[in-house]
Amino acid sequence: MTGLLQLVFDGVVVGAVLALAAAGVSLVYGGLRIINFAQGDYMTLGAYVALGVSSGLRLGMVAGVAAATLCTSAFAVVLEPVLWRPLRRARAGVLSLFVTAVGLSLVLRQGILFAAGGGFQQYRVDAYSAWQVSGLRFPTEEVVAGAAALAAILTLATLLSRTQLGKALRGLADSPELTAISGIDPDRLAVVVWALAGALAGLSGVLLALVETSFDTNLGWDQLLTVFCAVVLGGIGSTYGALIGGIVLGLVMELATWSGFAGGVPASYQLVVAFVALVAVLLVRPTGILGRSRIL
Amino acid sequence: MTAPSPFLVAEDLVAGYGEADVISGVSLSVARASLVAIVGPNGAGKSTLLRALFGLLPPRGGRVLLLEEGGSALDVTRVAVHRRAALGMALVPQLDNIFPNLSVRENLELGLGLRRPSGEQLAEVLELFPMLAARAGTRCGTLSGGQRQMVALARAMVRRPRLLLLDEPSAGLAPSAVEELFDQLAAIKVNGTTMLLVEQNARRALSEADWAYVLDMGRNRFEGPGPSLLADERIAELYLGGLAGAPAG
Repeated sequence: MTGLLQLVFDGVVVGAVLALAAAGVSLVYGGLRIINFAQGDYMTLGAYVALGVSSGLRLGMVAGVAAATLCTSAFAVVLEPVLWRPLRRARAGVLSLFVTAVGLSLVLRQGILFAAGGGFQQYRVDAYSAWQVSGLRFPTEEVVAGAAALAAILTLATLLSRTQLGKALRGLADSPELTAISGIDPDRLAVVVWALAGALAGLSGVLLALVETSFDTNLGWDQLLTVFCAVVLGGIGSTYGALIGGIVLGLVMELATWSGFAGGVPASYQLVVAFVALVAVLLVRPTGILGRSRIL
Repeated sequence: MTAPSPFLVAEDLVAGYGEADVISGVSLSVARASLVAIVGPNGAGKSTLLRALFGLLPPRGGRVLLLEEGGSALDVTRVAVHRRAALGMALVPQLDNIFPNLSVRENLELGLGLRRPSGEQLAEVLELFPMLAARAGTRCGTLSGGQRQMVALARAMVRRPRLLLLDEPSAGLAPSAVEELFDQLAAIKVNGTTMLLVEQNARRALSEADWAYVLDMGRNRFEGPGPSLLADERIAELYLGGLAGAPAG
């Protein structure tokens, strides 16, 4: 039983961290119809910015997390008028935008590799620090990462449901034309979408690097399929769905390794489990947990 | 008694899709606080005209003016769609006229754009559409066609527009919902809002309109007071399936 509870804890932490990145993908697809294949590399960018600030500049992890969130957000915002807006104006289709995002992903990853070099990196944190409660082990980085991710999820959910800006973002996902008719500048909203998606990716990246204890330039790329799986599981274009999908997926992937579950699935097959869970959900609910069939 | 001054004027408007012009040189004038209808057969260019007037379809020629009471004219032909609400213009499109995944209340709140809604503005519009108050928390995608149309109209009215453009608001509605809709349009008109109505229910629109334009093949064909056009046998024969002055359906 202790093993199962440990896996639940691990699943919630990993799931909440991935849910942040998935929510960013969903915001961008919902609002701008761009499948942001570069989201994984935005995560990696966040992890390396935090490394530079916390270890390089010796400003500590809190400053590192803040810098990762802000810098990745700023990077995503800068690309809106430089790259995405001109493509929208030129009426680029979903496939053209997707291929552009793939290219951006490659450029970004190689850029990080060029700037930071290869090899595995670690933050200056005590990887062995942990709380022990009733036989359960709660590593400090995982507790901090999980708490930060859950706080970010709550903040995002509150923004979307309680503020006029959040309602406008959800409205944009329903109908960009009606949003403009209602007096809201769609270009301004696009900037907000990228700012949020970038911030979520940056935060998710640094928290994931904390949980995994060491990382390289493939950090986000390695999680990209899982992130997209969470987006589809939650319902494409639904940001709330992506948040739920991420946590559900994290739990399913961890619980599948439980020894009480027919000996447990080897950890290397966790992604397979994620996709089996995705297919199972889609067979029952083709639009995902909170998705609406209208979106795709 | 002086005739009401025009508020919206379109001059020689040309607009279309791809290579083809759907409307070619359409002109119209909408008097302040009046209800003006645009009728015509399918494919006449009615909805295209409305989209061009609101900037959703950038006109290829001609211009659209908003005339202030002081006599000044504002050329809004190239004004971005999202800036029109601030000028007092509102549009209820025929399709995609609500946010289906948002609640009724959230739809109304977004009618104010990014401005924080005041309780007074929402209360005012809910007074005009009392049925919506009971369904404020309902997701709009689950509403009936008539209820959705009501939300669309209410969303447009939250900002207290000076000019309301409506694209086929009665399309697909049950007869009782059509009656309710026209009652609401009458109430909106009493408030002094200027309305331009594109409508497939030509008889009903002409019977209510202070002035009307008949569009055909993307051009002006006839214009005049709504009831006069309704009584005109030529128009009845060509566009209303005969029987001039027959009751509105």
